[in-house]
Amino acid sequence: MQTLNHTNYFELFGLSPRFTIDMRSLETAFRRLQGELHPDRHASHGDAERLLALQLSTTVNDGYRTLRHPASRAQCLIELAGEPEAEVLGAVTPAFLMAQMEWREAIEEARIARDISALEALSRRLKHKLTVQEKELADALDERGNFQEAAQRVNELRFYEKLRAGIDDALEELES
Amino acid sequence: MALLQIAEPGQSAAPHQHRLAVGIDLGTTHSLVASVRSGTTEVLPDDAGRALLPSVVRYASDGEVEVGWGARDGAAQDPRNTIVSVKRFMGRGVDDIADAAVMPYEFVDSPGMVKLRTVAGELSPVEVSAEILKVLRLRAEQSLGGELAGAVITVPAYFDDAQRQATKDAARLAGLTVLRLLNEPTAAAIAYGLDNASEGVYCVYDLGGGTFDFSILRLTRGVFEVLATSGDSTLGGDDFDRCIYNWVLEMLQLPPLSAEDARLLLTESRLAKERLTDVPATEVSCTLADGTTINAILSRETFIELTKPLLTKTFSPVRRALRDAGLQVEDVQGVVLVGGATRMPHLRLAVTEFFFREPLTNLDPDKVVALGAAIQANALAGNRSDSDLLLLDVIPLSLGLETMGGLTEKIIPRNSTIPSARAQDFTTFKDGQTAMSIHVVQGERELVAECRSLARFDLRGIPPMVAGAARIRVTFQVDADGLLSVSAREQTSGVEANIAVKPSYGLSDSEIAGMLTAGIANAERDKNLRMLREAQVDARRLLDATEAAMAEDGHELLSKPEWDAIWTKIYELAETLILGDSNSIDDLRKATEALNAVTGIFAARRMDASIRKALSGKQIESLNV
Repeated sequence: MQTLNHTNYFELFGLSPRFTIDMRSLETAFRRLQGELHPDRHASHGDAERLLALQLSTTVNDGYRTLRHPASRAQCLIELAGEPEAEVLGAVTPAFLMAQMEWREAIEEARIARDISALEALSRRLKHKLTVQEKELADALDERGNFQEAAQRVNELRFYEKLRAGIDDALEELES
Repeated sequence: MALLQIAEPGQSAAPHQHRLAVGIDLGTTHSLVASVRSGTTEVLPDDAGRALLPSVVRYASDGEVEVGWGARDGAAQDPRNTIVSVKRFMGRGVDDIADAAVMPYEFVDSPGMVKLRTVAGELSPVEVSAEILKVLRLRAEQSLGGELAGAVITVPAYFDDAQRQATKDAARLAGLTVLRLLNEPTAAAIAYGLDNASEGVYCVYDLGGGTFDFSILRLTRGVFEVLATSGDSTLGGDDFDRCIYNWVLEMLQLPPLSAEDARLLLTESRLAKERLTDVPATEVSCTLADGTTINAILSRETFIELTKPLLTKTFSPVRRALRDAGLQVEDVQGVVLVGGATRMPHLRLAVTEFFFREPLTNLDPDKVVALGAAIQANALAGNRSDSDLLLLDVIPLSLGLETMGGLTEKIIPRNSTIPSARAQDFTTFKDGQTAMSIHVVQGERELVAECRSLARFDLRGIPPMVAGAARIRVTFQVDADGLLSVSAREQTSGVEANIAVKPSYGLSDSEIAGMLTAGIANAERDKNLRMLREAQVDARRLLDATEAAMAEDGHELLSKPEWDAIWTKIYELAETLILGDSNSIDDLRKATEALNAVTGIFAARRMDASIRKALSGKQIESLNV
């Protein structure tokens, strides 16, 4: 894709490279970009232009997804700073892993007991955790510029996101 | 012969000609065609003024093919050769069809997709569907007075890749140019949203004859953004008929019925279901082939009780979509009902109770999908009026690969906005391994065996290396129709080995070509004519587009030599095209290709300009909010 420096999604969406972003601005830029680049906008054009539209529209979708989700947005900033991948840069602590095990057990217990309200309570608790985690990530990246700490938070966040998927799957199983 | 009008360099292009485009709702029970005519979107009726065409195809022993009302009315006389609800078999194998045993058809297990044995031979569901599409195409051409530039065909949002591909193949077989495959709930949202100038989060609850779809969309100034979609591709209004059918069999202690009797009683069951929308109780009655008369009084209460599990089943996908979109019921501004089955009062009540609000029903639930498709077709054909409309749709099911131990590795998760591309690196597990087998699957389950197998292919020619040293990047690309292509490449060695997906389902190009020419006397000549016409359409479209683009911003974006080079190729292609039918397809394709090649840089600069335009408007936009 010769026309875009597609590693810098912040630039593509006209945002300053910070963890804290205005979601409304991101959404507006996304719709405006797709309004110009989506393949449907170029359906009656030549092959070259239609192929470019497909590629660019794909890039815009990828960028939107990357910036919308906290973990991938933070990862994007860590990469922009020239640091290695989060997985390499900042490992999670054994204590954190222990806490993860407890979460998993709680989800599994609720699933086996077919206890939907317990799962919903876990889901709410997790939501709160995620909010706190994002705040810490914002401080590490935007205030302190501490990429190693940020990398650790990113990895933790990924664990939490897997928990969320686990809770959703369990709920889906019980509801059907 | 006013074939072409080419503006002089620097002058504005000729005004855009209105292109005839239609939206087609290829439904399980009914199909419809609609179009935008002088600004009004309308369903095109048949000669008798009927908008709906029953999706029923009857094959007679004399080679006649009857589609629609006549075929439906005759279904009970010849159930084996009268194909009802063929949509249920599209892109499906015998094992996928749960109630195959009780259907009156003779299924033939064939690779990829089931076939049906009829008096007209073994037929693919693609061929049967093409018969329905042909009737709609002719109806549209007669009604609109010209050849169609293209069609938007709707598919259930929850259709997988194989089912989508089969639908596209059917359209091609019917001689239609597919502008886009459009998800049915999205189509309904377009028709509804534009009609009501709605903004905010809307849900579409679409219970068709054979499929259930649920989609959540955000509507913002002409942008229809699908946030999540879910559904059940084996649940539909037909199942409610089957409930009544089974109830009658059980009540009257009847033995299993013959194909003819089964079709008769199923039809009676459907009519009873429809009557129960307006009356509290109704009689299911018919006379079987052996003279047995069936008489049963079915009350609405009993019907509600019988179909409760079906209704409950629809809310599981509803909850999943809400969760995927990260939304609560309270965030939803409106719920649109689509599909004839949503006329059932107890269904409406259940939806109302779930969402705490009355569903929106001001558009005919049978027509709304076709109307939305027509609006999208009009926009895609390049007719100006709907140029502000933009659809951002998603894939309904995750796409992935089989990894060690029969597990699935998801590459593109469900509800990803399309077009979408993702790549994942894999490696070899044996020293000196030179080939790798790639198995593409679709579905949410962890075990490959529980997902749908889409394609298998081998990547060969990997240079021998120690285990784990090779870097094989597998790239998935999903286009705006929701169709997938996969490629793989070994990275470290610099040796490239690219392959395209070879579908393990559906029909190959040569099979399609065979069907296209089958039964036609001058098959070869016909095929050539068809290819020439396609090449001419391509050339004309490219000329139109290039000319318009040059007039729009050619002066701004091109140097004098670049400008001249493009015009030279425009004139060359125009000349080749004007020579008409006498020229060879090859010359036409070469000239088209040459113009395509020379406009590459121009296209790139135009896209760059588009990006700048999109971003520079940001300030103004945020002031408006």
